[in-house]
Amino acid sequence: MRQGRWVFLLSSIIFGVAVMLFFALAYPHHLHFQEQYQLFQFNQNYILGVLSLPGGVADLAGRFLTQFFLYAWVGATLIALVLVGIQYLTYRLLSQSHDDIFANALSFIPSILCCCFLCDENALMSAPVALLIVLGGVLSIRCIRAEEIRQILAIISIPIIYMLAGAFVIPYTLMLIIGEIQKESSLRVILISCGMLLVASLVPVIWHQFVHCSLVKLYVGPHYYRIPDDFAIWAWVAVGINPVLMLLSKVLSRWNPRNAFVVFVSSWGVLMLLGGMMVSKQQSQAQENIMAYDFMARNALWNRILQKAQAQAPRNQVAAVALNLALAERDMLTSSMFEFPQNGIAGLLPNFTSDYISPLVTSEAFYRLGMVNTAQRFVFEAQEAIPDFQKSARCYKRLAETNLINGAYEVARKYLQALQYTLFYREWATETMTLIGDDKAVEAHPEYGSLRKMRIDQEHFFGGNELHQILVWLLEANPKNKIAFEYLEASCMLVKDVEKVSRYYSYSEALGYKEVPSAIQQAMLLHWSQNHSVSDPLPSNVQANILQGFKNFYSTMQAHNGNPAPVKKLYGNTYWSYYYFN
Amino acid sequence: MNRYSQLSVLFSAVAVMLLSSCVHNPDVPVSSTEVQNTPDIFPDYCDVTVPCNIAPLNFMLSSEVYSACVARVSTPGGEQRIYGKGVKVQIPEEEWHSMLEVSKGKSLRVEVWGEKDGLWLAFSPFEIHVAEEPIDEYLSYRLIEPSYIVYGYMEIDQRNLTSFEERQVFNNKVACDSPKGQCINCHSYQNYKTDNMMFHARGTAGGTIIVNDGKLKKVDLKRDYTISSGVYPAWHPTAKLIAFSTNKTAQVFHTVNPNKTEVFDSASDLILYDVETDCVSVICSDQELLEVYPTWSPDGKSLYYCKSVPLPEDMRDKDIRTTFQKLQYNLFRRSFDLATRSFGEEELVYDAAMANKSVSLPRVSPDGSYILFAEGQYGCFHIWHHDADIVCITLGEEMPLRLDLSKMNSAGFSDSYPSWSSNGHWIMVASRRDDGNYSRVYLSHFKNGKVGKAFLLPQEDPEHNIYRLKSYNRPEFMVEPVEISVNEFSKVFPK
Repeated sequence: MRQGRWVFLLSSIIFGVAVMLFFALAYPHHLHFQEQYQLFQFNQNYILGVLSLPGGVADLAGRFLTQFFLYAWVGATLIALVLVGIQYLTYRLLSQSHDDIFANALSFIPSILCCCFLCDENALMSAPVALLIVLGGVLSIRCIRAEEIRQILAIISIPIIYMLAGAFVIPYTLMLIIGEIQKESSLRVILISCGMLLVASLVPVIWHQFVHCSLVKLYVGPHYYRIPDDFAIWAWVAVGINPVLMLLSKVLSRWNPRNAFVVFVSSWGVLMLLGGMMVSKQQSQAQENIMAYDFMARNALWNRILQKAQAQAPRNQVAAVALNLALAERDMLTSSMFEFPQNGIAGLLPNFTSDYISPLVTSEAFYRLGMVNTAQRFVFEAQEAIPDFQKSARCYKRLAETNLINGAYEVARKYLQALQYTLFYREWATETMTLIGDDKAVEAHPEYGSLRKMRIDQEHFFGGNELHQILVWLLEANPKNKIAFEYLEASCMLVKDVEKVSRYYSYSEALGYKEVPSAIQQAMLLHWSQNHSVSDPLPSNVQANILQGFKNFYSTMQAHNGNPAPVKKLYGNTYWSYYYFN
Repeated sequence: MNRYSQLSVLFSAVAVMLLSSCVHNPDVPVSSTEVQNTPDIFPDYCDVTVPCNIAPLNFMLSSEVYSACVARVSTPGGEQRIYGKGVKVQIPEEEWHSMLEVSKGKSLRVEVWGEKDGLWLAFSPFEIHVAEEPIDEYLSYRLIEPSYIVYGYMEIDQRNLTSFEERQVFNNKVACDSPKGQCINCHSYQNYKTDNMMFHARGTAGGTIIVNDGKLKKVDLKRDYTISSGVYPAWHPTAKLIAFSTNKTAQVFHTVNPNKTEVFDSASDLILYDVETDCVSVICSDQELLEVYPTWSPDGKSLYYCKSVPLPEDMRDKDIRTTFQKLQYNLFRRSFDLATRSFGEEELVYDAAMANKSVSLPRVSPDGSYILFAEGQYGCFHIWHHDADIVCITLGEEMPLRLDLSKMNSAGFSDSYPSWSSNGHWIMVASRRDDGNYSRVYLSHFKNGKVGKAFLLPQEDPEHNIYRLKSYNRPEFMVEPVEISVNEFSKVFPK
């Protein structure tokens, strides 16, 4: 093929751009998700701590890259570069001649598999980086022409690659062996190959004497996947396929097709198509949606949450919590909450679960309500639940804030000091550090000052079952805490306690509502209907259209003998529908 | 110069450069302004009394205020050494120990200069008094996040107090495949030695790991007749017996109070475990009251423990979550006959409730003359109580004397988990005084009933105390290191 080099380059560029566009446009919140579960610090202790484990260099480089995922486009570009890098090195490994079309087509397979791996929210960048190191290592050894020196260095390189890239040392060794056997298949080479395999299998055992990590983890990781005891299958397939590709490309290199360009383009096209299908199967838009809501709640993008929910109603707890928070922030919770699916109190302020995802968005709600201690607890616990024990920049930031609000300045200082070692939180941390010890400055701060005022002023215990009471205390401590009022009324409606909805409405006096929010009117009317006869005067704050709607709802319900489907179709966005059919 | 001479000169120059980059001995500032107070160094080592074998007391000035720090340390014999790099003063171990050696029973004099806005300030000198009594060579603690319920990575570490060496005894992930891991806790040693020791591993494949004359085993201490497996342990000083409390523990969380979390027992008793025969017997199991934190007298003839005081009658039937702030514990003891393994009648040692206080975590001094405990307003989990302080009273007197521990306790922060060094001259506490959240190990000199100013466990890098976001939990003295490796410990767990 005459213009092989340019065609290969173009194929790599197209692949890289496709990867970048996928992660930037279809999967950006997975990148934000990754970034928030680590705290990359430019300090000696952090760096040495990561490097002290096998695979530490790959792990450190992976974490370094992941910090840029805070900005999805930058993260997507970095992933594209890493995957194109893997493709290029794989091509160098497989190519038997200058314009080896089959080697080039096959070289995309490990990158496509890595892309599938990265679709998993717990996949860590250390695995693709480790693959880069492994491929670089094999190519470096292969460059050495003197046979004996190459074979000696190959054996020496095994523990070094284990130190740099971790457990991928086994496929690394297989690649070296195949490379040697492809050059010469003598008894000596077979014996050397056995020696290499022995070294590769013993290296984790030797490390086991020095690191406090189980032997199994030393053989399979230790840090390619966030959940330490899970096996990073796609990453292993991506690296493990290389020895197979080496053999395959050797076989295919014997075939010299007449129209190489057509063969290359068609085989590359088929691979891209298959790769696209695999990625499409691996990626999860449901997870992406959850992460999007979490991201928007974290960044207080309330209008975006509302727009997203209006386009497609949220169907999971994290999204429901974020949506209800956005509604409350826009004073719309008690008027519009039933325009969206509600799943009880779990979609408003769910109880704590010991995982690292859902407590974060719940803590956002507690934080904005003024329940600073509870927000702090949820964030702290979420961070502790991160399966690979990393710390989280997002959590540290919030812990610094809650401690500042509480006046626990020395604790806040510790979190801020840690954040000062990061790339993207340094400026904020340094700026916020000026508030340490300065009560007046904290009180004057637009966010921390108002949250300090919003806190409950009397001591209580919170175990999760006292939600109504806590919200009442919040309102009593600060009658202008509108969000607490919205949550109080919403929580009463969600547990179908219409008597309390009517009773607690008295707290709205200081909040400047021009009219009673529509969902509250619906609940009040329901409560009135349960305790009064038709001849009794109606509650004065219920509007005529609400009354008419209630009459229509009842007559429709009676007409369909209580069958929920037709009633829900007409009145699914009312509190009455939630009350009777949820 | 011939080729070899040139090479040797070059080699010497490189060697000098390398050496000078390793050891930094600055000069004291030529001119400075005198300041009439001692420096605000971290940790605060001004006028403390330290063991004659302690690791270097490295310290620093605040980097937010100062750009450099220089310290001149003078021995009583007049020898002077100068240290300082940036705002930190880090003293080489060998030099420090040689200075301590010649200063036993006397004091080191420390002069500190701090550079602020380009000007050097000379602070008033302070002294570090070097006691003749050494401290136990080792210390072990659990490193944990001060979390609420969820725990991540935790480890039990041992630290050499004469140097900065820190090694892991065990961690909660090495032997467990569950993502939640295990909760490892309550490491305990017989008579400060490690050939008889134990700790618990809760959760997946959990149990109590006991080292019996160097041999490892994992046991389950739960019996049909106990309310839980063993919790807070105390090794008998001579026999292969461990007293435990058994507890049903719960937690609630404060909405305002900086105490952050409340840990309380709804039931607790005391049991005695025979390591040799794997037998568990009940020491006391009052149905109404709670017994906890057993500890032996050094002769093994008495068992001290804390026991709750009956609640006012109108509160007895109420949910403990609403009454535990009224729950107070007094200090009791029972005699123990090793031959018959029987306990005597209960005897009140200290009536804390009378003073509207509550005690926890008692520890008898090695000579049996004193007892330390934590004291707070209520409850028995004082590590989260800002008002908790350490109390030391005399034993063997009709009216126990309360010693002055004002130099050891912090104001407004929790001081808890006291213990004695094996020679009885050093008291160790876990204190949250640095920031109210992350507990640290503080040490105080004790001699003839006089307690010295507490000082923070020294670290090679003084900033380590700031950036290590872990709490030091259950600090225990040891006279020797744990020799069993993490991997060996992990073998007692089923795969």
